[in-house]
Amino acid sequence: MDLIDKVLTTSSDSSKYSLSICASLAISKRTLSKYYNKAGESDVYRIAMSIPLPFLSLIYIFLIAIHLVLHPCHKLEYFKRNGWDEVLIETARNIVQDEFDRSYCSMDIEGDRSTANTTQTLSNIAVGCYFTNPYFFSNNYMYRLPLRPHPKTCSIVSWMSHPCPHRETNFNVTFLWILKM
Amino acid sequence: MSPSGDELQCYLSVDPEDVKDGVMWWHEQRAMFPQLSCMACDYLSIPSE
Repeated sequence: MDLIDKVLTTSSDSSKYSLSICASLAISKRTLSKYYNKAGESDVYRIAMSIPLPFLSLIYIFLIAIHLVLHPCHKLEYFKRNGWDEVLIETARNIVQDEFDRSYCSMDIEGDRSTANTTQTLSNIAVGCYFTNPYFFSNNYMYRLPLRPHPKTCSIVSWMSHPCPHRETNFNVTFLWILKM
Repeated sequence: MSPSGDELQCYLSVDPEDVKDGVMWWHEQRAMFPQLSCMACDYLSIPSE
């Protein structure tokens, strides 16, 4: 957000662009600031911001696992293709199963097809995470997830230096670290 | 086994499909997976941009 703000500020004052472009950039900056400030006012954002990083990473992992398993083009195959062993795959499955049993299993489908109330905690934190990392939960991004080298066959350093979107690295490395704990 | 286990097991027993819009896919499958589709739509619809 700071970077966007900086770019918009410098560009809107720049003589490189015509007056109309500068005016548009300035308006964009004002609009962005308005919504960004509103995000800061929300409880969800404050909760997300107050969670220590390791726990936030844990929430990322839960959400990513649920995303992957419930996306019909991935299911558990993503983990299998990447050489994760059975225990890890079972862990991913259990994350989905637990959240399902906890929040959706007893849902009254006829009476309410909307969001399960009890999921709000996790889902709201997810929205909070979204504000900190807007592309993290992109469906398109999920669909494009590339194949990755098996984490156990290379050192964490060489693995991290493998060219890939940093967010995915973040996810996989965090997952690896959690498993090492 | 819980009823939810049945839904998840049933869903995972079928191979992945080439689906781009996961939310739409789940919406179409809601009759077969009434509860799992709710969960999937909640999670897959978290906005990104």
